[in-house]
Amino acid sequence: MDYVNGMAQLAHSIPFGILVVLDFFLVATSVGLVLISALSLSLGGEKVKGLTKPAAYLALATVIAGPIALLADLGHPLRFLNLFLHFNVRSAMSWGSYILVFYTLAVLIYAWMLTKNPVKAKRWGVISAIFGVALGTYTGMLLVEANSRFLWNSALIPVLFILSGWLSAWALLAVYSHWFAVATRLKGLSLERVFRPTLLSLLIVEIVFVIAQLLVLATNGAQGAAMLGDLFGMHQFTFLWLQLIIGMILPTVMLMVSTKPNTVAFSGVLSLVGVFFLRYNLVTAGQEMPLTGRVFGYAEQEPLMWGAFVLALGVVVLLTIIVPKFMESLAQRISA
Amino acid sequence: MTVSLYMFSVKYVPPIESSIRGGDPDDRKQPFGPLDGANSLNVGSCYEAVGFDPYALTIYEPLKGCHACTAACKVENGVPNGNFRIWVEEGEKEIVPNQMASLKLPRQCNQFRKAPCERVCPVGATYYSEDGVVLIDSKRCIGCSFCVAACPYDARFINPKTHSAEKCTFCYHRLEVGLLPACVSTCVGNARIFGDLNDPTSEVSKVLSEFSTDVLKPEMGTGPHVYYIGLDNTLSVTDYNKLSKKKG
Repeated sequence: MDYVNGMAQLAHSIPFGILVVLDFFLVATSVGLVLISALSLSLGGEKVKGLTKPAAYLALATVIAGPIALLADLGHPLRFLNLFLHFNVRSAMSWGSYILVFYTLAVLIYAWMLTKNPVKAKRWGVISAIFGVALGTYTGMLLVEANSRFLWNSALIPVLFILSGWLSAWALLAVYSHWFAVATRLKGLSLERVFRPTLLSLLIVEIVFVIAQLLVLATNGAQGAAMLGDLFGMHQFTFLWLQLIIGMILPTVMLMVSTKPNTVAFSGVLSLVGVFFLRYNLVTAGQEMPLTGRVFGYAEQEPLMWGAFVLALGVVVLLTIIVPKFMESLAQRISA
Repeated sequence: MTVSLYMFSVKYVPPIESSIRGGDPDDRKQPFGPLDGANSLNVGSCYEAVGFDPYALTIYEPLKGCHACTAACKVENGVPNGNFRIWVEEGEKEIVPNQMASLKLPRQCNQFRKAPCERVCPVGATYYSEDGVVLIDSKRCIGCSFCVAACPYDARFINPKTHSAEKCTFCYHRLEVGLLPACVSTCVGNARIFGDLNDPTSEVSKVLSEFSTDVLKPEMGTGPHVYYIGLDNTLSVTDYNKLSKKKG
């Protein structure tokens, strides 16, 4: 028990940690990549034609890595099959488990069809995009369903999750097309013409959303003021510095003043940092606001959890390099 | 046992003596008289919930912070260190200048009729027993923590030993053999009344029909089975102007 203002209060550890945040980030990025791939295949002109295949491959890589982080976060990872053996129609997570499986299968088939038959792949692109939107919405709805957490219980959350996933997808493509173009098959794309205007516009929209969220909090009485105090207080480093300044404002300014490929690619790195910490702050700060008593919730610092986090990040990088090569070499062998 | 719906409540028993610092005993207020059969479950008197009348709050100051319910629950259910199925928040409130009242608020799973944890559980590990108690199938639980995030009362936690979600079950294993929950049996002040709401002759039914009661966070629309008599919002409502970080 802690004594706060003369009162004995119990502090509670927050249930969703960094691994859940990483899963949300990777899954939303995958959804953004699928949307980019499917749209560039169906509607895209010459400028974005080169995005179709690499985006689909990267979408597959990121959606495989996301649930690995989530499994590591489960108390009983080996019981994950229960998610498919016992369906709860009122649970967002129950729906999300099925959506995730169908989405992964659809992306796998879509990526495969792109190497074999691009005409038929269009159909699977649309199917993947539909499941993708459902998956992106689900991660937001998961938080919304915990309606006692007032930061989460907002229609803005699913929209913000899809939008920021769209941004992180473009940022990832910008980074890989500049530094890992050969490995990820992202050759020949103009950072200046394709990525710079897209990243810039998405960053501005994201900033508008975040400002809107802060304004809503500012008008939300003592609860909103406490939330703002948490974001700019305990979360100052991750919210003010990593999310707002380094992850949103700095890349926006950089893209405005420079058109150099290096600047665009580096802005992509910063945007990825911004999107990750947007999720981190939403998820953790939402849980820290006490539901009982007057003590903020706190995150358990478990070394194993951080180990799993680093491992999952390593898996992401490895998969994003291996998957494109694997898919294309497999297609070549079969056609040969 | 033919219990169909359990009800848990906190009972007021009128003051024995005043312990208001600096207060005049003659100014004490007694909003209602002794309960019939108040000692039918336990002997003694204690007022564990926060009070309807500030003058009544400090009367049991000598009993402040016994936490017998918390200890009994931990022993009965093997609750690990650092976690609680039941805990008692404590504080003080200035009634009039220089007169402080001691406040206590027992916290636990409120056993909702429409439990958010039951709704969000992706594998159906949280379920209702036939008699309306919210229980957890620890063998089915995957430890995803979604129920912990969705609980409006911070009443759930992931057991670090079993890695499954855990919370108060009204000691269901005791109810099945006709015993009262450990916290009710052990309460030295007889502050907790537990029984069948469908039985009009049960003590809990009598208390609820006789006295005005409150539930925590009624705005959630979850229909708690835990009722409080004389709830004071000093502890039950979060004061967002006075939040603090965890110490240590």
